[in-house]
Amino acid sequence: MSLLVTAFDGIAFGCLLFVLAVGLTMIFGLLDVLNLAHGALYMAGGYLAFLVIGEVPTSLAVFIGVALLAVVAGLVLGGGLSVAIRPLTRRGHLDQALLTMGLAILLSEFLLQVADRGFHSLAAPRGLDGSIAGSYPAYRVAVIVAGLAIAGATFWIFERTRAGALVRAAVDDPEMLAASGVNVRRIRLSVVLAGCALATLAGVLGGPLLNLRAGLDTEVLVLALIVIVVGGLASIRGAALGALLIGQVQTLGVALVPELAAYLLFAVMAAVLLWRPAGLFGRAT
Amino acid sequence: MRHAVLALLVLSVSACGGAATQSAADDSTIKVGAIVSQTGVYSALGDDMETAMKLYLEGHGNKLGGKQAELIVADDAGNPETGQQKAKQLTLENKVDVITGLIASPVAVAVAKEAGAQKTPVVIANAGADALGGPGVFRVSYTNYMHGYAAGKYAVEAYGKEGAVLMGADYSAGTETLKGFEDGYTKAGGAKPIKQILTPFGKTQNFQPYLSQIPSEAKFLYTFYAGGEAITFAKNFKQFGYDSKIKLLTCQNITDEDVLQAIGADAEGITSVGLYSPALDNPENAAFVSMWKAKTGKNPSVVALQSWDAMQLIDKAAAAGGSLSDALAKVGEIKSPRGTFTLDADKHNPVQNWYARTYEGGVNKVVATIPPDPAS
Repeated sequence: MSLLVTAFDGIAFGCLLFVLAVGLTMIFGLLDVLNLAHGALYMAGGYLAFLVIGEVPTSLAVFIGVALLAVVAGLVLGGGLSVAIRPLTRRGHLDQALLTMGLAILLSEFLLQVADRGFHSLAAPRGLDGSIAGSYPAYRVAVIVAGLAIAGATFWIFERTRAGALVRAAVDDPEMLAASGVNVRRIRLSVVLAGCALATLAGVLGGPLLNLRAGLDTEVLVLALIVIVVGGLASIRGAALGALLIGQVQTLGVALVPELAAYLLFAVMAAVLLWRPAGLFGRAT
Repeated sequence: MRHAVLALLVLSVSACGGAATQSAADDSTIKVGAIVSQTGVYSALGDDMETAMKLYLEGHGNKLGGKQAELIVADDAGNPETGQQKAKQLTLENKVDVITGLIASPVAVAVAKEAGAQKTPVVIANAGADALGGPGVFRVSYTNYMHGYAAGKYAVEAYGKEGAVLMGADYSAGTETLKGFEDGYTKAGGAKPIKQILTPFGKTQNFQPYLSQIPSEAKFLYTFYAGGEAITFAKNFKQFGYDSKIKLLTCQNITDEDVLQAIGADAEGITSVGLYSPALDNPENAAFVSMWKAKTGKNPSVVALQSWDAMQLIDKAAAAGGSLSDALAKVGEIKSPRGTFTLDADKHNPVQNWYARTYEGGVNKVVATIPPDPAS
């Protein structure tokens, strides 16, 4: 029984990881930029919500409103990021990593200055702040619902719409796409904006679960990187499967083999990479 | 002529050795180097530390032991190498008389080593590693072992003599506190704890998988978590319904002021064992709490209290005159907001009361006092 609860909780955690990681993998897939500021963007979403609503439970409508506000903030920050990385387009991954890492430090320190350096947490909205049957937090069920909805929307856009087809075409053959009269630069920009908005949205969604504190940006960045490395870089399906797998590793896995809890995450990553060096859904290049 | 000078020297030394050093000291200043975390994961504690030290100086005319005090704050970023560098800088360049602050134990160990080499005394205001302490190193906080030991002693009478399960973060503060608990518990007549659950430090976002390992025959759980992990633990414990399944006793960090607001309603009713409560009834505490509230609008945290007492210890030692290192060892009773305490002669760790506290209506109410145990 308690293992079932653990496994279910793994799904909730996996859904949060998906929303966190999918933007990172999208940006990498299209721009070939590993955005190390992704964790700081997550943090920005969470701190924005904290600054607006504080730590007391609000109504669900206010909570959703704040989540939308975080999406807008993510779009703005995404705009800044795409301006910042443009001069580095032809430079290697290391330069981009250094730049985005620097931006991450600036952003997270700025947030800690505006709020304070203390520990904070978002409260789950009223109605979702209790426990189901006294033993499972209702908010985590809401995280699953929200995560599945966001995943569904992302898949639908990528697989079933013209916009999604253009993005996939821009990944596969940007020269051909540009030759047929499509503005590839605009597609790239919209993917950066969407990826960053998903990160800030994840920050609000995860606020009641992971808390807010100094150092949060690196902690979630590492999780997101593990998810997309396991799932396969630049694959949305991979991010989904990677997130659910890492969610289970972090819950069911540690419940089954608690002695290995500290190593489990990295052991699974290493095992996946040995078995499929490009990740579960990655394309060998 | 030479004889005259010699005679004068002998005269001045023999006549009033004490007064001579006193007058020499009066026109000099006392320099205190505070190594705190202004950035990094411990920066919230660092803020409290700095505020408390400055508050003490403000309240005492910016003087320590009658001398003009100069506080030089350096950032260790939570990193031992940085801490050691700052210690070197403070001792060699700034020529401080004493180093204090020190939040994380690895930083404190590195700083104590560096300061020891420069013969500068160290007053630890927080770091709890059991191994710290000894010549030139003084501590006004606690050792992790003593923190757990007091809780173990209390658990025997309040939670029963068997069925203990221990859970904590897998790093030195966690394991040392749990070891202290086990010793305090068994020496006071409790049975060996039935299980110990260790969780990876700084990497655990979810305690449900660990809470699910508590055996059904368990009677109560003692836990050690601090900072962000304390918030997550307290929320998980309540929201997954464990509060109705098993009794809980915690370390002082889980309901300390730095995390209480973030835990919110889920902190209500948690009982912990700690060295301080803002609700303690003594005149020193009343003055301290009102001063702290006027400054920050909040109740003082344990770190704030310890930092206040670090300054108080330096103040008293400086007032005694002579070598600060020697004087720090001879301060004797310190009237602290936590109650009166002394430092032991050997390791210079506090000999103090501990308190069982239950968090109710916004404050940790004292429900029992646990006197210091000579055996601990």
